[in-house]
Amino acid sequence: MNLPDAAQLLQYLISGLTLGSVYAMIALGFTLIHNATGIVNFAQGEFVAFGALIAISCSTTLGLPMPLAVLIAVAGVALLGAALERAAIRPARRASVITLIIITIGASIFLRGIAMWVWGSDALPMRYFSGDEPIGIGGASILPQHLWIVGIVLVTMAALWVLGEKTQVGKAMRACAVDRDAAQLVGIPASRMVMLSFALSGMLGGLAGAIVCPLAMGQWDMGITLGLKGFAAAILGGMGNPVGAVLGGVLLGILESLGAGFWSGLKNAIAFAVMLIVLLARPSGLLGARGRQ
Amino acid sequence: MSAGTILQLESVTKRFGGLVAVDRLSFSVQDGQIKALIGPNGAGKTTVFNLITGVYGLDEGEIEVTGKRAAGLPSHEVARLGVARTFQNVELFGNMTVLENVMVGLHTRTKTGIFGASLRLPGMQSEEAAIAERARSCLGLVGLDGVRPETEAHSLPFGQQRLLEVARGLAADPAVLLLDEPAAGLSTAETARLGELVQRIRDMGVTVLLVDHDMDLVMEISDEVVVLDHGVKIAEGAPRDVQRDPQVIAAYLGEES
Amino acid sequence: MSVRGKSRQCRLAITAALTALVGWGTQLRTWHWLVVAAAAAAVLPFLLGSGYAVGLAAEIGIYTIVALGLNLLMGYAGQVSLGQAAFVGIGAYTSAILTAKVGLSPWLSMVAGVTLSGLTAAVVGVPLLKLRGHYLAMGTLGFGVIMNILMVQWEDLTRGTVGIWGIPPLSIGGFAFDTDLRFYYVVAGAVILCMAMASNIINSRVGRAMRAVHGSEVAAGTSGVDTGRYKLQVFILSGAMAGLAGSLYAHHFRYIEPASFGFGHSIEFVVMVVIGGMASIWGAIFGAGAVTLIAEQVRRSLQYSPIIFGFVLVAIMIFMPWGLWRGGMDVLRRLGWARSRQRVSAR
Ligand SMILES: Nc1ncnc2c1ncn2[C@@H]1O[C@H](COP(=O)(O)OP(=O)(O)OP(=O)(O)O)[C@@H](O)[C@H]1O
Ligand SMILES: [Mg+2]
Repeated sequence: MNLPDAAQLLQYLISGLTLGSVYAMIALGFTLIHNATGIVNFAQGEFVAFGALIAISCSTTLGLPMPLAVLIAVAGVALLGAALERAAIRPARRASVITLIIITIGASIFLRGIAMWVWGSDALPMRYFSGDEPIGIGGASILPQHLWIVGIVLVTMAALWVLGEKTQVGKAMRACAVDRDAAQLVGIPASRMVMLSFALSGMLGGLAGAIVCPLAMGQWDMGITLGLKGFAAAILGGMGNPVGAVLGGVLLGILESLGAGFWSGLKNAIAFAVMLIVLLARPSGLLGARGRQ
Repeated sequence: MSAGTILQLESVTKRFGGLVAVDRLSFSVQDGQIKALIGPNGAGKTTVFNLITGVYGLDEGEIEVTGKRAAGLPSHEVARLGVARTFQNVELFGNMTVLENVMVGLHTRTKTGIFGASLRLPGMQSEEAAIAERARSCLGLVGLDGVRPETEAHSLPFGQQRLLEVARGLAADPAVLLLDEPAAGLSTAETARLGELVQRIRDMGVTVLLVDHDMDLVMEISDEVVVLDHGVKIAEGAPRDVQRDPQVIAAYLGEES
Repeated sequence: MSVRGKSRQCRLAITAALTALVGWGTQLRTWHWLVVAAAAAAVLPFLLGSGYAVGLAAEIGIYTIVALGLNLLMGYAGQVSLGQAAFVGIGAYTSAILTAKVGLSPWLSMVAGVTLSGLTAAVVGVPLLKLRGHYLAMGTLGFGVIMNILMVQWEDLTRGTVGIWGIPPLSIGGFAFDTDLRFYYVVAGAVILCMAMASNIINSRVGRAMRAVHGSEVAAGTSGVDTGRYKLQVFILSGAMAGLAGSLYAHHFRYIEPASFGFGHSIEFVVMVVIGGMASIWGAIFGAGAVTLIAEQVRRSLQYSPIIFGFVLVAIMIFMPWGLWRGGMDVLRRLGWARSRQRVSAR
């Protein structure tokens, strides 16, 4: 074990923040679906993988310009989310928790299989959004991609906030989350809202995948780890609480990055240890959960 | 507390956030009584049952069952004190057979552990036979002897599901049986039979605490009535007197308007 | 080509034999099925012929034990575990380390493996089982992943990703169970023992209490069932059975590595339970067999297995939540092709 100096520490913080923003997006995806249905969507990580892989295909194979590639990835995964809801969740709406858990696990395995079939099992590279010239700050260096990630995540969150607080659709979605039957009574089409939450969640996951893959590469099974870490972030912040999801994501990212600096072999264990500790010691997370099953 | 007191609530309070669902409620149930607990929707009746049976923890007050402290105990220990119940929204073990549902009711009266069970020791086998026999007789008691015991519980018609819950509750030969709206959804004829059943149960020596909205049933079979409104006890006494109580009439009228 | 054709025939034979066995078994009552199962298990190797197929049958038997334990937990008691492979790993590593590194007798090591995995289940079960539904799923998953990382990182003990080899075979006196055929019989014995035990428990006061927890936790509690205690008991039992399977795994392959006990395998065990049928003792063989054979088939040709497993999982949970076997029987019965049978658990 060796203690890092100030510059290294800054470096860890920067990469932690970047990673954390990605976790935050994934955690928000979990939150949306959880609030609408009470389900923890085990296929959330596959949304991320599909976002990354579609973006890579569009940009590398088809040679489309980057913004278009990202857009297609996001739209594609949003569709995928809606399709998942329609095909696998809605038919089992009245089923027991254990059934729903297995259904989303099955969906995640299925999607992983499709991803391997289509894209193969190798890790695929992706260009940076702009330039690969690192920018030096106080002995640490930032890639433009880091800035892109944090920037896009911030903009997405702002957009999501506006959607949730200021628009009719957002209010309807939140009403459904609080009390589905009551919302239905006042004329809100609850089942369409559930589908919408899956689509939105797919968008978030797809975007997370598209922006992270220039750093992390894209691979058929990348969703397992990213999905689980997003879940850990959601639990850390308080499942069902959007602000908590963001806070949990950023905290987890920084914790992981710092932890890895001290003891690299256990990097992947950190997220799970955090998740277990929070689940057992304070299941409502840092900011308090809502609607626990 | 007199010797014949089976169940005693003393100043019991339960809050859900800002809502006081049960407010300093006190009453007692005497040995061999059929006591009714009535009140408009949302008065707190089911909550009282949940407090007695340890499903919810109470915020204040005391509960005693046959002189022993029940407040603060987990459900399964309250059951051991001799409390059995049914549920307003039937809570059967839908994945198990009719007979097995009643056999679970005998849990507190039996003792085979996981080792005895896995090796099928002789002691376990004879206990098993006794459990099955007792369960069959309970099914007969509530009038379900016509149903095939291996039917899965969830496939029974609703009325029979309610009776099955009663049989499960009776299996342990409890000191007191709590019935939460047993007549809800039953036809007039079925309700009449239910009334007879409850009286028969009382005659067997099982004290009954009954919640129901069917006033004809309640007034006909119960010895005493407690009326709850917004978690507060507004009346207690013989059915005849309670029916004439202006506060009770107001509470029920208030619900209608 | 002829070798591949032969092994395909073998696999077909296993499937047919097992299916027939399961079909017959579910129609029988009380202990008679034990005799049938033992007889069928005894003749199976002669039907299979090749050593490869017998080895595969032994492997299926090992997974059957895991699936059986997980089915008690999941199918009967209604509690999910996505970390079952960790218990298999604990059993396997205990056996491997105690025999290959310490030099203890394989049988004693096996006892130690079962004990340690059961003990671990007890220790982690106390806090984890306070969680419900999705949270229990995630909690057990986290436990499983951490245990797997430990197997990789604790190199002094586990030799990390290199794995442990040189695990001796089981033996009695001078007789070593060192061929596929010999080891197959050890596994078959263990499977039948576990199945008898599981079936005894299911149809007892303890089993009813566990199933009641699944049906309605509140009603189980008010009926006098200490729900926490029974959840823990079944969790320990399933952990110990997974540990037993792990020990057998170590002595079967004589080599273990962390990759065999990861998250993907935990999921595979869940798939076995679901395909075989939740709350079905016989389903464990069926599920373990189907998953292992499909995986084995697919490993050689195309990479379709996740697509198939995923699709089957979702479809079964939506259309046949009681598994392929029972669901299929229901369909046949509706078509009037099979005589109606008594419920298995009513025996
Ligand atoms: N778990 C809970 N969390 C929050 N509020 C609750 C809970 N259970 C009951 N309440 C509230 O407590 C009050 C009393 O409910 P309760 O179910 O006891 O009424 P009740 O008398 O049984 O009504 P009904 O005749 O409709 O069955 C209601 O306002 C109800 O909304
Ligand atoms: Mg009620």
